[in-house]
Amino acid sequence: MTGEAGEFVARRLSSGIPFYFLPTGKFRSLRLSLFFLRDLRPESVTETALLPEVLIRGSRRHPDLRAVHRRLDELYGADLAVNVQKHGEAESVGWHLDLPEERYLQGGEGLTGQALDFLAEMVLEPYMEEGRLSARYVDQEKVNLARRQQALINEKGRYSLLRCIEAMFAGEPYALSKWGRPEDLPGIDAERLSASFRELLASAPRVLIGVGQGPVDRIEAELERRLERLRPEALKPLEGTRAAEPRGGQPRVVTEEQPVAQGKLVLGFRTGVQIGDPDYDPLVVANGVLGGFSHSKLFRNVREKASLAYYAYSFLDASKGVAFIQAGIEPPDYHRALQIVLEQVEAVKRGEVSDEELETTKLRLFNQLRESTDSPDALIHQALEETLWGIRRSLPERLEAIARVGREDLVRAFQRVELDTIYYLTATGQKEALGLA
Amino acid sequence: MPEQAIERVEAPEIGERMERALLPSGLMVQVLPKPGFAKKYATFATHYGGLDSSFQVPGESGRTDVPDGIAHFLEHQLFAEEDGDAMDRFSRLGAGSNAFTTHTSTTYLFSTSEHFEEALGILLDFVQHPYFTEAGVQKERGIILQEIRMYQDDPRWQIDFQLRQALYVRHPFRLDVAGTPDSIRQITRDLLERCYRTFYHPSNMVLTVVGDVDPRRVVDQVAEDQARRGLRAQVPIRRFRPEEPDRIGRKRVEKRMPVARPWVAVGFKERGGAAEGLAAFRRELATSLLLELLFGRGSDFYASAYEEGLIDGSFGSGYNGDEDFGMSVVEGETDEPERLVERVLEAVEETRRRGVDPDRFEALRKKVLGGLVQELDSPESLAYMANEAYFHGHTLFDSFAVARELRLEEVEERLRGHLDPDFHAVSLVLPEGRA
Repeated sequence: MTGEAGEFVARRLSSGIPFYFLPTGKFRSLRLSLFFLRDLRPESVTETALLPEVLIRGSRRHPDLRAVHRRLDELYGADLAVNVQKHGEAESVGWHLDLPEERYLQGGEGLTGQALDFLAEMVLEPYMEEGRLSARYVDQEKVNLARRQQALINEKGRYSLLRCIEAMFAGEPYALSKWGRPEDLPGIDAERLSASFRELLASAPRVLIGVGQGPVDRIEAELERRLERLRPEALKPLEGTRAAEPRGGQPRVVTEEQPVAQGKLVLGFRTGVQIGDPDYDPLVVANGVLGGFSHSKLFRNVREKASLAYYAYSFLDASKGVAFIQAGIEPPDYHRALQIVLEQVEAVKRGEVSDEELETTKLRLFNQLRESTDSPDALIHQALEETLWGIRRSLPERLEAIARVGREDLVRAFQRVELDTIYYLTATGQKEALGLA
Repeated sequence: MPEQAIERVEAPEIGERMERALLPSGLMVQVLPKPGFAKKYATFATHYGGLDSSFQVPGESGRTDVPDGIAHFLEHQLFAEEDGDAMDRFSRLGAGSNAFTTHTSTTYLFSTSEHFEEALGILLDFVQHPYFTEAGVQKERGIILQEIRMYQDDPRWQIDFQLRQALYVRHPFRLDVAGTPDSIRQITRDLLERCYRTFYHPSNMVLTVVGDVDPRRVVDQVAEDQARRGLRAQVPIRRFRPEEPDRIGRKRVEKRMPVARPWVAVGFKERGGAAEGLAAFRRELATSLLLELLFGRGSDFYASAYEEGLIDGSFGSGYNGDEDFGMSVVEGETDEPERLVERVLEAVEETRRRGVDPDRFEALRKKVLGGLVQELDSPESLAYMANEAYFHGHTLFDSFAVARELRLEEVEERLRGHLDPDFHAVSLVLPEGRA
């Protein structure tokens, strides 16, 4: 039993699936994720969104939700989820098993094997009728997905971010939400969804990633036997994601009114800097200085000095080369908040970054990187992203890259950043009052 | 200074142990070693939350009543220091810090992989060294107001708030922990100081560290800090709660908001009276299992309501309670709120007639147990569970023992005594403009 979380061990199952496993004694549960990867495209995004909802409905031996969940209850509350994640202009469909380690459970002997049987059954033998996914399940989940698409409006912060992204990348794949498009749903039936599923198994690039006590040989052998049939016919490599290069010109302003108590301000930036770009690490540091932490300029000036917001932060999506700032403000405070936010952006561009801001940011980033090794989810996500972008760096390498960033690197990287879109969701009647109508 | 005795509590069956010491100041220190973890997570918590607006200051005879929202206001205000902000001091070490307030407790925390002892020093220092100025109080009010507004726009928060308002007549569980825009305007520096002196005494607090640390060194550092401050253990604080009548306040509360679909929650009021110590945790666990049995994804109810399209993945249930208050909540988005409420009540009635299925009980007992083992991977939940256990007079590992020993009869008892349709209320959030 190893105490320290080290690096992932790389293996390959005989069906060709790359298998990354991190053996560590520190966790009390086993996490295992099987990902299939697809390009994010308008013609497939909605069926990809629908697929997990139908697949989790049942398997050959556990044909409905009740049977599936009763099985999971018996497996000591093991969790099995199927979901979609967006990674730049690609997306993944992932089966995620989260299982308490059997040695800590009275009467838990054999639990791991049983849970892996169930995982394999859910992946390889979803519930079918006449060789197709159940038309009833498909119809029900179309309704549920349509509702979920509408429900995005309920969470104002996330909704505002999605609207900003839509405005920035209209007509491009990155504008697509992982929940798909309402207008596609009527055209999807059991036949089409089954074809999409077959294609996923036959040709989507795939990877298995796990974290747990191991030993890795035993887990590999257990998986090998169960996933033998998961041999692809011909892999279809991903096309990759184009960086969001600055387009020049004035930022666009998009406003919307709803009867809300708090206004949501979102600023979208094009950075042109993706993972692997020499400016990537400098931009990570620049973002930290601007709005990644509680000592950052945004938190300090928008919240602490001006008392204008409860939250004000920035973050990067380096898969696409974009950055965003989000703040929740009193609806009439738009102009004042925007001005303070933009002043902070300009200050970073001019290199007005104190030694303390720079050092503190680096220390916070070091901590974040180290602490991410304590979260199985974060470890698996990191390993998946490394697979997607084909860039593998050890923890010491990543720490070193951050340590090397100097003020001039940060300024050079941040000067590439261009404000593209200002989105503001405000209270009813405020647009006119603010001169935004 | 004599060496502080440390008690070791072992739970070999789950591979964990805890070392703890009750210091002369009354402060309890708990250390849960997590070998191999990079993160060192520390919390400093006081048994003081949104409910505690009426109390007797130790040493005084009268009763003190204060505006709502002070516990939460203090949580914000304590970060302020003479020359800046405690959060910045943590940041300079690379550590992240935060705080949160519930109905019954306020917790200050930091997380770091390096410079742990310095960070622990800051935690001890800023929580025990208040610095309140009129200007600081004024500034914080604006931030808290935005926090209240943010929650007001959140339909999930609104549903929960309305339900507490409906079920409870007088008990402060019905209030927002943060207070109201009005109540926070009444909060002054003097009031903050008075509440601080009462509730931030070490006897009312617990310090918990989870991570790859040496328990002896942690205990020594905290013991030294406490010895320097020279406080002695004091008697528990008397708190006053209004007598809550054994009825619900309103059958139904609703609000229109910019949401896509109606959101409905059915709540059942806790009527069991005050549960102390492990009994409160037992009650919570038995109720969670009962709700899972009735409304979980493996239940007959879920299967049929989902098939009919009455509910979707947003549907869920849970129990929120402690000591002398609590409620079970069954909620979800639906196009037909009235029918969903009816069906939930029918499912309760039917189970009350038929009783609890022993096979399902056994499977769900395993699920509860497995869920607790999974929590062991989260330093955050471990610390939180350990603090709650301490405030209730037991240890984290007793909670695991309760889960292992949970009996069918206890769940039956919760079904009869708590899930009583006569004590339910309905909370609704409806889309704007809907007739």
